[in-house]
Amino acid sequence: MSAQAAPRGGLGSLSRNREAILEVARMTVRRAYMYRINVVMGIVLTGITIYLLTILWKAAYGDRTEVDGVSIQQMLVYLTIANLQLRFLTPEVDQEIEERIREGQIGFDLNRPLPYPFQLVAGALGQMVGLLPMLAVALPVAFIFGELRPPATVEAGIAYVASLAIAWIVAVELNMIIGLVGFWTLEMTGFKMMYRLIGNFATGALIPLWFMPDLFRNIVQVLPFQAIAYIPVSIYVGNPAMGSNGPALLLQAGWAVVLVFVIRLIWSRAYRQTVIQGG
Amino acid sequence: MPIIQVDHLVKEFQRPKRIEGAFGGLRSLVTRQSITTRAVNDVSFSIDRGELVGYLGSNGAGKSTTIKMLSGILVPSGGEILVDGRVPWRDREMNALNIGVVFGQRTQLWWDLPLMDSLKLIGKLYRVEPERFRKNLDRLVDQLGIGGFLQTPVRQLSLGQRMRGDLAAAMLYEPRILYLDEPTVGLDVVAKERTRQFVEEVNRELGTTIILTTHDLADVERLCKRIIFIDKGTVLYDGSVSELKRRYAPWRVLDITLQPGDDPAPPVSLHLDGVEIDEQTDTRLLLHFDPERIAVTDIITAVIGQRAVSDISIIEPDLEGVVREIVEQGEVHA
Repeated sequence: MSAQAAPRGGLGSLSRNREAILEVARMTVRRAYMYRINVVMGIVLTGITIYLLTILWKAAYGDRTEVDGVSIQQMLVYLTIANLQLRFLTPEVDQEIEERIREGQIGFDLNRPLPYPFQLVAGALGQMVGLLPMLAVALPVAFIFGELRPPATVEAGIAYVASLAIAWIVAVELNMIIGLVGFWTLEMTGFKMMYRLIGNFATGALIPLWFMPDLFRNIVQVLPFQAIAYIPVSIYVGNPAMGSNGPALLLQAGWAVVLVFVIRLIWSRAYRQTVIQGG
Repeated sequence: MPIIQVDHLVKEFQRPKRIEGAFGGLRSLVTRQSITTRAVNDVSFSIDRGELVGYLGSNGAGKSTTIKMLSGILVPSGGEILVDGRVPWRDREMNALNIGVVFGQRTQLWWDLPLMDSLKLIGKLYRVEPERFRKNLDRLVDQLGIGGFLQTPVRQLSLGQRMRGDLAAAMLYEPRILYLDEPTVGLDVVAKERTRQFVEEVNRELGTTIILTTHDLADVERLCKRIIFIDKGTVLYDGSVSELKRRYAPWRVLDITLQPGDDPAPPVSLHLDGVEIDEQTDTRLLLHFDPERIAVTDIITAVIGQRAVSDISIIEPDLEGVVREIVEQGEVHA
C-alpha cells in the first residue's frame, strides 16, 4: 500500500471548501436571528456597564479635564466604544464546542469533509453578521448611556476599521483555543469563567492599559487579549499612549498569526484525543 | 476486492482512577493512576463492495467504537483499518466524502432549522453540484416520502420523520459506504418497515456497502446475508445468518395438534434418534429435533402411526435465541 498524499487542513482546504464555509455562515446567521431577544438583553446589559463606567471615570477625573495626556472625553468615548465592541466581538465558539461535546454531537462535526476549526470560524462569522442588524439597537443605547463621537481623525477611522477586523479574528482564535481545551477536560465551566474574568480585564475594556498599574500593564502587554479591545479602540480615540498606529496594528496582526499556529498545534493534539461521550 | 479491511483492531480507553475514602476526590484529582479498558480487542474482518453486513453485539460490546474508528473520528490504539484504500482518521476529509453515517439515537440535522436547510447545507458541505443535488433530492423525497415536512424545523418532527430526514441527509451525496447505527430504534412498526425498505433499495440499486448495527434482529433477518457478532470487543462469529442458525441453534421445534380420542389415549412414545419431547397433553405434542439427524417426515410418520393428527407446524429458531446462545457460550469459553 503506497502512502497517499493526504490533504491537510490548510489553505488548500479553505479554497476547496469556500462554498461550504459560506453556507455554514449563512445558516448561523439564520440561527442568530432566532436568539435576537437574548441579544437585546445583552445590549441592555452593555448599556448599563457603559453607564456605570462613565460615572466611575467621571468621578476619577474629578475637576481635571486631562490625565496623563488623555482627556475625559477621549476616556469616555474609549469606554463606550470598547464595551459596545466587546458586545459584538464575543464569539460563542467555546460554548458551541462545549455543547456539541456534551450532547455527543461532535462526532457528526468531526465526520464532515470540512475540518472542524473551519466550521467553527464559519459559525463565528455567521453569528457576527447575524448580530450586525442589532447595531440599530446598540448604537442609540451607547449614545444615551455613554459618549459616542466619531473617530479622532479620518486616518484613525480607516486604521480602526482594519484593526477591528483583526480584533474579530483574535477574539475568535482565543475563544476557539478555550473551547478546544474541552477535548481534554470535557467539563470546562470553571475554566471558562476564569477566561471571561481575566479576558474582560485584560482586553482593557474596563481600564485602558495606559491607566493600569505597572505590574498589571506589564503582564497584559505580553498577552493577546489587548488586541480585542485596547488596540482598536485606542486607535479610534487618537492613540494617546502609542502615538502612531503602525506598530499597534503590527502587534495585533502578529498575535492573529501566532494564534493560528497555536490553534493548529492544539487541534492536531485534540483530534487524537477525541472521546465521544455516550453511544 | 474488499472495500473495508480491518486487521487486529484495538481500542483502549483510559480514565483516571477514582480513589475512595477520605479526601478521595482530592486525591483522584492529583493522582496519575488510570484504569485502561479495552473496548475493541483484536477485531479483524473484511467487507466487499456492495455487501450489507449486520454488526451485532450486546450493549457495550464495542460496536459503536468500531464504527467510530471506521468513520475516522476515533483513532485506533492498535491494528489497521483501510476504508476504500484510505486510513480513515489520517485521511479524514476524503474519507468523510465517501461515507454516510446515521445514528438512530442522534441526528446530524440542525435542530432549529427546517429540514430543507439542513439538506442544503449538507449538499454544500459534501460538494454536491446543484444539478446532482436536485436529482438526488427528488429521488429521496420520492423514496422516503419527506416532501410534506421539508419546511418544518427538525425539532418539530416526529421520530419517524426525523429518521427519514437523517437517511436522506446521509444519502444525499451518494456515499459508497453507509454506517447505520441502530436506525430503527424507537420506531413504530410502519416506520421500521419503511426504513428497512429504504436500506434494501439503497443497497440494491446504488450498490452502497452498508454496515448495520442493531438490537432489532428482525432488521438483520430481513436485510443481512452476513453478520459479524462481537462481544466484549472480540469477534465471536462472522458468517452467514443461516450458518449461524445451523451452528448455534440446530434444533427445530415441531408443534403437533392431536385429535382427541374417545377414550383417554395412551401418550405418544417416540424412540427416534435426535428427537426429544418437550411437552405432551391429550391434544398437543411439542417436541424438538435435529434436522441433520432425522427427517421431519420420519417423525410425523411415527406420530401418525399412534394418533390422529389435525395440525402440524415447524418453528424455525429466531435469531434472538441464537444470540442468547452465542453470548452464553462465549461466556463459558471466556
